[in-house]
Amino acid sequence: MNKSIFRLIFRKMRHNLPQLIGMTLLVIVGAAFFVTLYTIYLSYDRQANHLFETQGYADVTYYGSFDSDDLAVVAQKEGIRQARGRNVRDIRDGDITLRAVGLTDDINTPYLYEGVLPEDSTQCALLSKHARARGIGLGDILRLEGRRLKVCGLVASPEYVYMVQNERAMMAQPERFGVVFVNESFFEEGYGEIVALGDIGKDVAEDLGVTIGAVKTVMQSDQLNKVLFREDLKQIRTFAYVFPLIFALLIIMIVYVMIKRTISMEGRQIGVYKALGVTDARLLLIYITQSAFMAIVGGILGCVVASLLCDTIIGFFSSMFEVPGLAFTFYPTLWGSVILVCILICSFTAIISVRGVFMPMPAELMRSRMPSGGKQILMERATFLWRRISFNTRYALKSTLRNKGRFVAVLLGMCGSCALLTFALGFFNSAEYTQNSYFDDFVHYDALIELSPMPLEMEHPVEQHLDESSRALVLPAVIREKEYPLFVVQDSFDMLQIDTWRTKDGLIITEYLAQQWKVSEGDSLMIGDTEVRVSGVFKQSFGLSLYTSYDYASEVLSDFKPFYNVIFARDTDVGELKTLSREQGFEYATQEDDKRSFASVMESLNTLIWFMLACAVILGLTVLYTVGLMNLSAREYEYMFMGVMGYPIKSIMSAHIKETVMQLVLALPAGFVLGYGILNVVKTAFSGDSFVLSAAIYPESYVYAGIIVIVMAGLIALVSRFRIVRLDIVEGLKVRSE
Amino acid sequence: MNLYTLKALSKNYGEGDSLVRALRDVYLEIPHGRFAVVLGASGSGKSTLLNMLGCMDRPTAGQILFGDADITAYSKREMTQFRKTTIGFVFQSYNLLPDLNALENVEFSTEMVGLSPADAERALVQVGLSDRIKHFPGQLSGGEQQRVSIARAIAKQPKVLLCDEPTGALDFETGIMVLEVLKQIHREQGTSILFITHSQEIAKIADIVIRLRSGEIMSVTENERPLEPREVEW
Ligand SMILES: Nc1ncnc2c1ncn2[C@@H]1O[C@H](COP(=O)(O)OP(=O)(O)O)[C@@H](O)[C@H]1O
Ligand SMILES: [Mg+2]
Repeated sequence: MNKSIFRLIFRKMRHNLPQLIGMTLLVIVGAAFFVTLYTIYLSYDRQANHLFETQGYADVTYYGSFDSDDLAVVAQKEGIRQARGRNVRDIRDGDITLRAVGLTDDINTPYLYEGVLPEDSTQCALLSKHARARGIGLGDILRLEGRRLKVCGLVASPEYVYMVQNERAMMAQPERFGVVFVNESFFEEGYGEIVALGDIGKDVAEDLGVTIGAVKTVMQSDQLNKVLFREDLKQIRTFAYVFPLIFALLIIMIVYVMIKRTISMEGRQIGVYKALGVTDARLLLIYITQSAFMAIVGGILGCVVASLLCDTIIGFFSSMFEVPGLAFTFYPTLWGSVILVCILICSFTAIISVRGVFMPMPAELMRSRMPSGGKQILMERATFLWRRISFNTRYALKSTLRNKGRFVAVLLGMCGSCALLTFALGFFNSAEYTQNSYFDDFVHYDALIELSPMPLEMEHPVEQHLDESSRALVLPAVIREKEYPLFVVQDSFDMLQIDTWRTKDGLIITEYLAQQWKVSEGDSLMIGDTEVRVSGVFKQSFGLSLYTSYDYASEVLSDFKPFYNVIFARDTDVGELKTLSREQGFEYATQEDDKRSFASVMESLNTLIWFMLACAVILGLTVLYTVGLMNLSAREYEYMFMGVMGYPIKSIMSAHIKETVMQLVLALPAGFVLGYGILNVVKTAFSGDSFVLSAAIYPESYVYAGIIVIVMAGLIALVSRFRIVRLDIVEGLKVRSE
Repeated sequence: MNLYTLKALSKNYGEGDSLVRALRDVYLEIPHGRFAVVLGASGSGKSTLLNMLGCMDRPTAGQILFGDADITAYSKREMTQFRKTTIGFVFQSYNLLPDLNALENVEFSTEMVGLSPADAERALVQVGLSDRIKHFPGQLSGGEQQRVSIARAIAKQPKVLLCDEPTGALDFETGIMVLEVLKQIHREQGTSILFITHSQEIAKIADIVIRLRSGEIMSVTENERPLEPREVEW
């Protein structure tokens, strides 16, 4: 019945093929990007929660020193379903830290990839990430404190989705940190931890902690491993939205310009349709089918590309986190909605742009119209200026301003591409800047030594070996239901770039926390039930903590005892520390360790950034190519005419290039600003309680982004030149029937 | 009953200083089954008149009755329907759809009124183009394109054929051929034809000649003995 109309549509599409392919490519990239990240987001959420559930991730964990009576108290508490005692001990051997964790039934049980769980004290199960990093397999022997343990299983653990070694090394390198699950008989009597499952509120759990004399009570949701999981989920989702949003805007714009242009070129034809009695609905069909088709094909291919890409991207992510079963998953609703959104966006834009042809009567449409552009442009009125520029430049200026839609499309394409490049490069810079400003400018110590609490007047033996050192006490401070480390420091403290003198009469806090809590210098804060004064605000990128002096702490905190449990050390021989730590039994972390752990976090982000850079380039090329094609096909006649009149191709090209330069001059600065804006929005998604990303874009990034866009514009100009050269003058003039 | 009855028909374009009164208070009756010519100089309002008759545009004032139906009171949808089923258009600049070949161009129109591809082919045979049906407009000469355009107009068997200077862009020989096709259709199918021209000579082939000047009807004359296209010369 509608054979003819579809034949017509099909022919028109074939005619517009290069453009359609370009647009489809945009849809593909946008859809693929979104589907990839969103699939990972959904799958990660599902698999991780599945792991937490099936392996009995402890709802609450108590740290301290417990016996079986304490365990019984916890187990009998209302709301607690199960409780187990266990021991955990870090065993350092050279560069490698192995954490021996006592196995507990039903709670925090390792997930077996391969082998079996240890049955006696001669066996152990090893975190597979560490095993892989060090090439350890089943049956290999591990030496732990002189004991020989045979690796009988390779596992994942709900507690170690992230390689959280401690607060500072939140993503330890798998070659340097591993978790070994051993039989409880590995350890001496008593427990260092009690882990429990059950429905229990934080307050109740903490009260229970006090009852059994726990040093620290940590709910599942506050476990760093869990916090990182939550934050990563959030970030992946943010990334999933940011890019495709820009793509969607560009697609809308290009479809709009493309259809507008087609319609103004085919005005007469549309008049003919109407004269023949084609209804508005049919008319709409002719123009909407093309963009809808593009949306469907692009959407579907995007999903397919995503399904091919997903596992690779997950592989890159696995340096950050790992859960069993995390792989590409087909989510029909996700695919369906993405394809639907593509169709809606494209069709809606098509409707908006076609709208204009419904009103006029066919007679009006069929009257041959004067081509627009006969109008004087503003410059022309400034006659004396106008006369001074060459004909070529005048022509470039005029043709630039003649079709505003196309002009704006190129502008936005350049601008969008430039913005994405600036953003992605800026993200690199921000990571580097954050790292530098923390390690080079903020941190003035080489190692942080953790001890059991000692009275301030007593000297710790290690201090004799340190050139420069400073004592401090780290206390957990609960503010607005969250726990933060509060460092009580001495008056002479200079191991961090903070205004130590400000700590005399209050607390100093980081800018990020100040913003979160909406407090500033001079305001007061509640630590538990104690009101304290904020005496200063400073910048710190990670390990967000609070600082105060011993004087102030003893003034406001009830039963505060002047003890110290950490020593900051500078200019210290780290090699010596290693032996000392073994002899004297303390833990320490070097700045190098922290740096490395930060670097590994950033490394995993690099993947995402490269992915984005690639997308930005594809986006830029596609937009410029598509719009360039439009430009060319609209100008073909004009160029041919110029050719007939003996206007050399060199001049045509130089006009073309001048036009491009004008666009670049406008688009690049706007792109830089936009890129900076996006970075600032995305930055917040990357900031949490433990880490604040400072937005910084180095000048060279602007230069790189600019150069890439210019090179792309140049490439497109070359392609245009190629096409202009090939224009067949005679054929062209004849075919042109409108 | 007349085919068309025009009462006080006026059409203005633009407004203020640029107001053009293309038709001024036109009263006219055109009987059924005739080969009528609208004769007038360029700019006299011929195309404007034709557009009104074909529901291609709305008049500024006045009434057009088609039979006893007031087509000036039609809704947009009714106008579209009217163009589709009742009117066949032939334009000076052929206006074929460039993406469709000759046959497809004709089919495009027949399909809309529920006729078969065979009807489309028959129309092409009728205009003497049976050997070129697979050619695209770009591959046809002007006269051939115009004949396809006529085939497209007649294939759906309209009650009225409206032709806006169909020979305007053609050389003499081809023009004659096109006129003959029109004459033949008029004779064989009894289709009413309204034909615009600015040529006194061509006007001689019509039964009725309507003279238009500056948007006003100067005269309506019956032709005692219409000439055959072969007999005219211009
Ligand atoms: N859409 C329009 N806008 C403004 N003026 C028009 C329009 N269509 C026709 N005219 C003017 O109306 C007058 C009659 O035009 P037209 O009917 O096309 O004349 P003809 O077909 O006899 O040459 C002319 O002066 C023409 O310039
Ligand atoms: Mg005319």
